[in-house]
Amino acid sequence: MASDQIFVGLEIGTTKICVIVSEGRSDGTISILGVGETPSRGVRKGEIVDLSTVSECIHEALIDAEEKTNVEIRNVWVAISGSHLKSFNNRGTFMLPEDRDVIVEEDLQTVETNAKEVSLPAQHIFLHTILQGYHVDGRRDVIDPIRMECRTLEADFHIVHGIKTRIHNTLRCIESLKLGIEDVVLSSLASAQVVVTQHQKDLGALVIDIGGGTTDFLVYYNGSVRHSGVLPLGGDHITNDISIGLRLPMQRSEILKIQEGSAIDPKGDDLGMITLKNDLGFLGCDISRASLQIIIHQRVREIFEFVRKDIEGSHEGMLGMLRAGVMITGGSSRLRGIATVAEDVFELPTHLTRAKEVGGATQTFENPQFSTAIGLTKYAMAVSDNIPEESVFAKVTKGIGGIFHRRSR
Amino acid sequence: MIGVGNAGVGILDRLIVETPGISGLMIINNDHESLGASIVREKISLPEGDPRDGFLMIEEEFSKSIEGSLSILLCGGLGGGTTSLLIPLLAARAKTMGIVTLGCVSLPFGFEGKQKKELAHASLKKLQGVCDAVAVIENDRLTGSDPTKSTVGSAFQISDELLLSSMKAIQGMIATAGPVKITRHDLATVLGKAATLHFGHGRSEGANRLHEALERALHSPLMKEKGGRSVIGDARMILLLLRGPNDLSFAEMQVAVEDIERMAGKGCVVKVGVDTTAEATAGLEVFIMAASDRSELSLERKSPEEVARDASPATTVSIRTKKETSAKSKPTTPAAKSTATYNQTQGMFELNPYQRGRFDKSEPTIFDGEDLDVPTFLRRGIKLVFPPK
Repeated sequence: MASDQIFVGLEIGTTKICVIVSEGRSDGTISILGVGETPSRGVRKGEIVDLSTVSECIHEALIDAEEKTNVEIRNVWVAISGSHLKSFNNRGTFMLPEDRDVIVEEDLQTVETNAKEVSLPAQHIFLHTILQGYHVDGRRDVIDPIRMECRTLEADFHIVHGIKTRIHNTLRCIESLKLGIEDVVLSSLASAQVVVTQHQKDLGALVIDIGGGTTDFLVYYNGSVRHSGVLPLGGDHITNDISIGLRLPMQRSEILKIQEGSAIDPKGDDLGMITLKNDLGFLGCDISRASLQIIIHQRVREIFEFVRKDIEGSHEGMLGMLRAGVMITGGSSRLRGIATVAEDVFELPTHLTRAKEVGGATQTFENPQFSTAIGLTKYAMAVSDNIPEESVFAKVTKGIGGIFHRRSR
Repeated sequence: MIGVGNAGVGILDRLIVETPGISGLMIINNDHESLGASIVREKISLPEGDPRDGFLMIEEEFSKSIEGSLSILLCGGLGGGTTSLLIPLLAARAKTMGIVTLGCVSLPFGFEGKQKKELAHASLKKLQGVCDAVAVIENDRLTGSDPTKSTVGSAFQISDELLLSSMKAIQGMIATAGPVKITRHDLATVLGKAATLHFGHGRSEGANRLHEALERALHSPLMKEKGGRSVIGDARMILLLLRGPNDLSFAEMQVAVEDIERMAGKGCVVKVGVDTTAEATAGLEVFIMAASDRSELSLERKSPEEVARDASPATTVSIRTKKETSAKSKPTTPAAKSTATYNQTQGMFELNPYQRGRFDKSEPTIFDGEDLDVPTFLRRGIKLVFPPK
């Protein structure tokens, strides 16, 4: 595969917009060259509400990235999120024609198209079709069916779809900056690229990315994606709760959350007071630490409970079988005590994670806020057109667990 | 003045701190800690349990303590169980004793929940049937005046301030002993039709006390108009009360009136009351109550009736006056109009029932019938450890 290629990932989040520039190495790892970042304005709950403002922000982030890395950015890989995204699993079947016995590349395309022969809700388009596994004449989970002899080829996919206009808005926003879009990737899938190892995917894992405006989650089981979802709840809701409950302005609440916040339920213990100093337009006051934690705990717990409900609604009993447990990443994952709450809600071992198996600027990949964008570049490298010679087999063993297909316009 | 419930106790405590020398305060609560911690001297302790039963037990004590008063002002925050049930009962009792009874209450924020709201409104209805006049502060309208700038924190602050100022002002107006009184009629006229009410209170002593007190009154938080326009300039009617010791000079009074008249627009009626019965050592206090037709949000000029009917979402005070003393009889015409006004206010109000803070302007996130933008701890009724601040 082409060595040392540059991949650029763009994530348009509710709190920040970031651009990660990475270099793909011949050994399959990526090295981060630099990050461009700006606070995000015009995005609410993961969705763009103000196109022009967001365009400006993206532009700033790009300039920032270009300055830091000395790379001219032409094309980007984009992460897509939003509570309008829905997913389901479906199987496509394809019977080989009479005159052929052997599977060829086109058949893989065909079986995927068949899997997508589903009526989507009005206004929806396919965003992502993630391969789960091939079955050849009933023999399950074949990794590379090409050149195999069979009558019937089946394939399971995890299909993600969303409202066309909202997805297109994001793309339009980027294209207005004269940027080429290599492709769009589901946010949680991007994060999972760098936060979960293949081994963990095989054991079964739940990846939760808690950002400012949304919580994206992905369930791996038996090595492939089984379930995904997006909740329009995130760190902003925690801050808002604090603001309302303790009667503080938003900015103050945000600082309080970051500096003193903890999601541990005080359970009746008196944890003392926190003194907030005087500030412009704000009188100093004392806050009960227990109150703060109660507020945070309730919201965090609720978010996790929603995730749990969502998963169990579609796949009863699967949670109990995820032996690698829960991986939490994203900006809000830095909240103290969040792993404890997750363990309580999911009854699974929980790990706080950040990007793994990447090289380059340490602070960058150690910050869970950047997991998604870094993941984009890793994904990009793996599925990039520079690996056409390699078979599907190689792609899968690189830990992607999915075949990339261009989204349909 | 009688503070009922935790909110009422809090308000009176603040009143004492801010106006030393104030007298005639009493608090009634069933939360013994709050009673114990309060600096108000006269207290009635309500027994635990149903406030209605509790009322029967304290009825006599209450009657004795208000006997001989010309008027009382009951204040509290409606929505909580104790206050909502108790205040109407106290008011009724006072009325049967022939005492002029006024109420000054706040309605809970929408996000505090439907139950609280309903309880508050039921209580308010009863109260309005009994009292001579009730000043109502609708917390939810506080963010209406300048949505882009108000934060939740400041909304609560303003709510507290407003309750306090209203209390001070009304008490000041009603309690004028003379020599120049502001009549109840004047008060009723102002309160009855106003779209927006602004209260100001200032106090000072020393050589320049008049100007300073006036200045402070004009700079009270509720006298500040958003958008830089002057409250006084827009007022339709202004009630000005000067209260001080009997060395209050005629000159001082004249200056005060002239100042205000200069600031007020044409066609504004200024009524002045002077109370010189304060102690010799007390300073000079200036109370201003300005009623304007101008709603803070709407830009067209409408007649007072229209504006009141449209229920402007501006500053939060709407007042009803009842001329009848019996609790159940129908109100007479002016009050009836106010009733209609009030009810329509209610109607418009429902459109934005929940305080969602930062998410106020965005599409609500509804799951299972719950608006997820409202804080989780609120929706689940989880109590916080201390009331904040």
